[in-house]
Order: sequence, then C-alpha cells, then structure tokens
Amino acid sequence: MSAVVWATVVRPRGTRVDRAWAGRVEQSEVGDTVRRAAAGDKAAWDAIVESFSGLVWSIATSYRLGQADAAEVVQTTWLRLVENLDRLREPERLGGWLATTAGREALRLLRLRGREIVTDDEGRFDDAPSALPNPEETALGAERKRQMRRAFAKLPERCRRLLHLVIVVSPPYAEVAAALEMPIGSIGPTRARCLDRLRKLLDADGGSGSAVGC
Amino acid sequence: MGHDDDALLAELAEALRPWTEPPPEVVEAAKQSYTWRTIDAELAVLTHDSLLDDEPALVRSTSQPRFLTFEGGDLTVEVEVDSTPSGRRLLGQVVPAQAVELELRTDDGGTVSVAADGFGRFVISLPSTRQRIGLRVRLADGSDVELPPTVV
Repeated sequence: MSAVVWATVVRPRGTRVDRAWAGRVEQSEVGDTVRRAAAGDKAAWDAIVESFSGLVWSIATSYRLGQADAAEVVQTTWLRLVENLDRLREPERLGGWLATTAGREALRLLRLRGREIVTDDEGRFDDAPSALPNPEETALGAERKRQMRRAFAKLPERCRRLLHLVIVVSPPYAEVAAALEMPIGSIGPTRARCLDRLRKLLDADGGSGSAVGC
Repeated sequence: MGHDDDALLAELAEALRPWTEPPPEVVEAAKQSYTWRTIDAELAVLTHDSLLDDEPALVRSTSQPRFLTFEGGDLTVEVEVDSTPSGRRLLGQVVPAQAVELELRTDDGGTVSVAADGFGRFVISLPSTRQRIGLRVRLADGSDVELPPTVV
C-alpha cells in the first residue's frame, strides 16, 4: 500500500495507520473507483466503504448522537451515495460529498430527535459506547483517557466537531471544510485555538480534580 | 507549537477512538447497502416530512401520524405512517391518480407487493419495529419510480 491515502490518519505520533477500514483507495483513484462502483463493481464499492467509513462515522458521532443514531446517519449517508453514484458531479471529491451529506443527515436526525426528546449536551463523551471496538490498553492510561474525554466534552461544539474531524482526515482538510462549512484556510488556526482550550481544560481538571466550567 | 499540538491531538485521537473508528457491523451494513442500488428507475426525493417540516405541537403525541411526500418524474407519492394497536401500516396515494404496482422493501431484505386502486390509493403493512423501508412504484407503462429508503 502506498503511503498516500485518503481520509486516513497518518500522523507522526498516530498509534496505528493499519486500521481495518483505512486507505484502500488512493486519492488519485477515487474518481475511477466511484465510476466502477456505479457500473456495478461491488468490489469497488467495498473499497470505497472501507476507505471512507472512518470519515463518515466521525462526522456522525461528532454531533450529539448516540451510537444507534450515528449508525443510522452513516447508513443513510451510504444509501444516498448508492442512489447518486452515477450522478456525482465530481466523483474525485467523494470525501467532501460524503462529509456534507453525513452532516446534513446528522442534523436532520437531531431535529427529528429534538421533536422527541431533549438530549443532554454533555455526558455523551463520559460513557464509552457499548460497542467498543476492541478496547485494548495502550500507552495512554484509562484515567488519562477519561480526563481527556471530560475536557473534550467541555469544549464548545464547534471545537469538538473540528477536532473530531482533524483526527480522521489528513491535511489539507477538504472534507473538514465541507462538513463545517468553513474556509479551508481557517481550519489550521482554529485547530490550534481549540487544542489550546483543550490544554487549559486539561490543566484545570488535573490541578483541582474538579470540573471547571468554560 | 506544531509539535505540542500534534502530540495532544494524537492523545485525543486515542481517547476518542470509539467515536472515530466505526464498529465493524456499521462498515458491514454500509457494504450491504450496495444492494439497494437502483437501476432503470426514476429517483424520487423526499420533499416533505411532517415530523420535521410542520409546526411542532407543544407536546408531540406519539399517536400523531407522520406524513411524507415524495416527488419524482411526474409523480407525487404521499404516504402516512399509521400506527394502530393491531400494527403499523403505510397508507398512501399516488398523484396523479392511477393504478400502479408498489413494492415495499425492508432493511432485512424482505419485499411486499401491492397494487394501488384506480384512484392511486394503497395500503401496505409495515414491520412492527422502526426500520428503513424502500418503495418502488411501477407505472402502467412499465417504468419505475423509486422512493429513497427512509426510516419509518
């Protein structure tokens, strides 16, 4: 596999890049793969799904949705793609299209849910989902992870969503820009500001041991 | 700054992994969604969903039916999700009124076919649990209109 992959984490300190779903389709081949899938090639479809599932899942979970709702948003997004495989104007920009579609579907479901129940803004990140994919212990201790999630949950929504996405998407962050409707040039600076806020929240949590509002 | 930020982001990535790595069954379902691919059908779009588009009632009653409108080609399909103690049904009407055949498909791969009457009206039983359905309308001239799969 080439080092150039699309919508995949390739970070200097990233813990692993060989995720099961990651990087089947290279950026230069996205357009062709979409066209093959549109023509009936199931293997091409599977490759697309494996390459972009991390992105679509992250978009869905970056909203205040539980696991089941996130899964529904993801499935709806893929169905929209199935319907539109041969209608995409720029198949090579599939990542941006998926990001936009998933965001729209997430908002739609949030509005539906808003009509039914009021969700608790915080707390979503306090409990690990039941379907944790193989929670092997890593260098990062469990307590540090909890602390990190607590701090993250206190960030403003926009920061949460941006950080959430820059974890999954490699620069230049075209999909992040599409999902957040931000100019691509402002993502870097915003990323830095949000990380700074996160750092301060972590310090506050570590210092006093109690939550400090922000 | 870049170095510190990258380190912090890597740590955050680790903590948020459940929210960035899709569960295997979600990926599997995505692969399976390819079987919903429609060939040779006009694709309708959802143009109205009473649950989203109508003025919200002060307290939403679960007994309130949900109305959905789809439009595609020259066809409008209006459906109502009707919940009764004896089960859930889809009540619908095709406009302009005409005799069509409809095929309902559920997420588990099951299909049910019904015919609309001369006024374009139809009734289809729904699964008891909320799930994704697809509806294909076959017109008298043999052409098909496919409604986007929707969770009802």
